[in-house]
Amino acid sequence: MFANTLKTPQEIQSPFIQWIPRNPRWDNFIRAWNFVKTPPIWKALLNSTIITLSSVALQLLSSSLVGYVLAKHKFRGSNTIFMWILAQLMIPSATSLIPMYLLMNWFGWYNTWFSLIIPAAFSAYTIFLMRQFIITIPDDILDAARLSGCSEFGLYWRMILPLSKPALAAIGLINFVWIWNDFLWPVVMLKDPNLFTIQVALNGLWDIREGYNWIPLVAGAITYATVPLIILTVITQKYLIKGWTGLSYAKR
Amino acid sequence: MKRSLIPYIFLIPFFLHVAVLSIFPLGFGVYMSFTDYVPPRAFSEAHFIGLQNYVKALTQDELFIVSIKNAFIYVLYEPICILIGFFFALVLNTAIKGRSIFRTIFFIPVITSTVAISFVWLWLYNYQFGPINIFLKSLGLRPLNWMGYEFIIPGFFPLPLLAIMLMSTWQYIGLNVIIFLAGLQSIPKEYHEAARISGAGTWHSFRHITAPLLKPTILFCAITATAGSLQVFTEVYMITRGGPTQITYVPVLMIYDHIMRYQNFGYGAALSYIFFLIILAVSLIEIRILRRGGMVYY
Repeated sequence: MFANTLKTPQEIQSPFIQWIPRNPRWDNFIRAWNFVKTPPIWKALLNSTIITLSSVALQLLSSSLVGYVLAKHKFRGSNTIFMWILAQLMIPSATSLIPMYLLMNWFGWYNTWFSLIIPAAFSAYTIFLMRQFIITIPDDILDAARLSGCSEFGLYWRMILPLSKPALAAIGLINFVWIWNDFLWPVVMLKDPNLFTIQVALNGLWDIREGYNWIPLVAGAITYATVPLIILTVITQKYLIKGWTGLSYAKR
Repeated sequence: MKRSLIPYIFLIPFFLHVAVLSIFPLGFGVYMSFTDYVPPRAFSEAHFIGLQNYVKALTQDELFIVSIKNAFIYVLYEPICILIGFFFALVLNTAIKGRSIFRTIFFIPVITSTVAISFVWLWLYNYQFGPINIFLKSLGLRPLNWMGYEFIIPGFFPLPLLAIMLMSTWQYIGLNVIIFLAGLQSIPKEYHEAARISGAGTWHSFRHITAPLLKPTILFCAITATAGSLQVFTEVYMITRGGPTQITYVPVLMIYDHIMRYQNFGYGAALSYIFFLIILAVSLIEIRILRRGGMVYY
């Protein structure tokens, strides 16, 4: 991919595989940057970043609150809620694709980022994983805080959240990758190119996939689209891999 | 404020979210699947037609049957992926230096978006200048028309579907490698030492120590991946768009087309629920297998 960006169309067509191009065309990277017009690559990357970061932040906060209540409070119906969350894990997201599409239209959220961010606000996976983590936090600490006059919400905000940092980091990273790479829901929901995520924007290159003239530029665009996540992975691989090898395998 | 009320207050947003964005769509979808709803008509004008959509899907819609068949063929990439992943994990486990670098390299395809990976593989599969065909030609073989109307098993297993499966295998090997590597490292070294002292060779200690201890991991990987793989969408959408002439169609792509192309919502909803029931059945069978295998964590 990287190598292809540096090639000329003639080299792409050559009957021999060249892993390292003879005359690297570095200017292709600049051309590729300006190649995707609707939306420009920087805009799509920015959109993806905003959508992903806000989804992840919202999801971590809201789901860890639910996880905390389920882990540390005994109340009527808590088992039902937990069973519902487990059941949610088994329901394929494609099942509610059509009703959700209509619902988003009725809310007036079609073709807005609300339709991407709000449904992601709670995730059964995150709730489940956070509950499993918070259950390991000793009750004594919480009781001590309660005795010294901490409110219930303060307990969550000042005790549970800071203590859950490792779990939040691991789960947040996985969710970041998932939401960043999500394709089906954004491609259904977004119509205005200015709102496109990077994945939907790349999809716009599909019609020219066979043209050898374009391959260096398509390859360049893909390089721009993937490099941010690869860098993130390399930096955070310890957390990311640890989190991923757990339950997350089922959902991809 | 009474303390017993606090959990409920904390859960209000969650309840709202579940009611509006989970339960309502599911129920509404069931109702819709019994109607002939087609926008832009108003939903109130849709007629209740009972099970007609379901009957039509299961008896007359050959495309739906084909798409389900394709989804089940596609799932078969998973065992291959697990085997190769297992092999790499064994090799990597013996390497002392550079393990973490290899781990990162294996993991990059897993976190890279399928959309981007698909473009690379479209180039690899290109009939004229794709490296795969160049390689085949250099071996003196006939280049394959990977994206064409060709079958491996006539009328059953299209070549483009194999192309998609190969891509997925490549993409997810890394995940298996990492899971197995974690599994291998959790086996205490003493087991292997004890085996060596009592005269067991490499093969024997693999056969009688490594393999049985990793069996739960292998089963877990295989089983949990099935539901996700049956719902394949992006891979097929990006590589073939279901084509040529819909021979690589899969259920989620079909549902997508019923929204975006045909706008046939009632029928599409019926398809979604049949597909949901199939996945549910598969998952339940698998959980039974897991239980029998002595698995506790699912």
